[in-house]
Amino acid sequence: MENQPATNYLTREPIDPAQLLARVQSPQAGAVVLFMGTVRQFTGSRETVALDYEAYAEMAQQQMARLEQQARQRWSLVGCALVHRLGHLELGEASVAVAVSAAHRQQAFEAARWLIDTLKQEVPIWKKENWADGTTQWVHPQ
Amino acid sequence: MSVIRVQLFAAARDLVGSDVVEVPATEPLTASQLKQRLLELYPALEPMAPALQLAVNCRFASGDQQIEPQDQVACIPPVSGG
Repeated sequence: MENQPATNYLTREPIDPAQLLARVQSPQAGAVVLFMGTVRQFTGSRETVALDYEAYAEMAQQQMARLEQQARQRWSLVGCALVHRLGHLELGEASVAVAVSAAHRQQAFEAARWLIDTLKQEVPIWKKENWADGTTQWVHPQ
Repeated sequence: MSVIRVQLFAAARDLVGSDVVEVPATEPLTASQLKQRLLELYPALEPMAPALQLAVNCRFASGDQQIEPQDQVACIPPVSGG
């Protein structure tokens, strides 16, 4: 294991869910959960045409590695894979994906839920809305 | 006199107009003192001040954390990944 390169948690390429699932599927697992966050067209009545994501990449990598470690300590996981996309994303594209596998579904569901919820709070990545009216706006939840 | 380099991201960078700023420090500063100094130098950040956090060496910093001269410091507006 120590000869493997450090996991790359950030990508500028489209996220391939099949590749993510392949990383976590295992004969030891009886459950695989995949979550994908995708670019939504409407936020209330406001229309999005695209999103731009940027990261404090060095810290985001480290925070995502810490989340994986914490999830593996808290739940008995077989596999765990996280990836967040950066750059310009069109409607419907996946911006983030979490895949986990475990012996039983409860652990897999709980871990996947915790991972995406915590990622959204603790990983320094930001999205910029490209609204249909031509304006742009960084999203900074208060 | 030393300076502390602070990286800026997203709306914080746009408000300041630069992705890195240098904050003069004549004495050792804590993270909350550095944040206060940053707001004095760049009042454009004031609207988002309550929500701004500092990261030191790629970890969120507590307010009383001491900033060392070689530390890597970043100003982190509320995150919105996912």
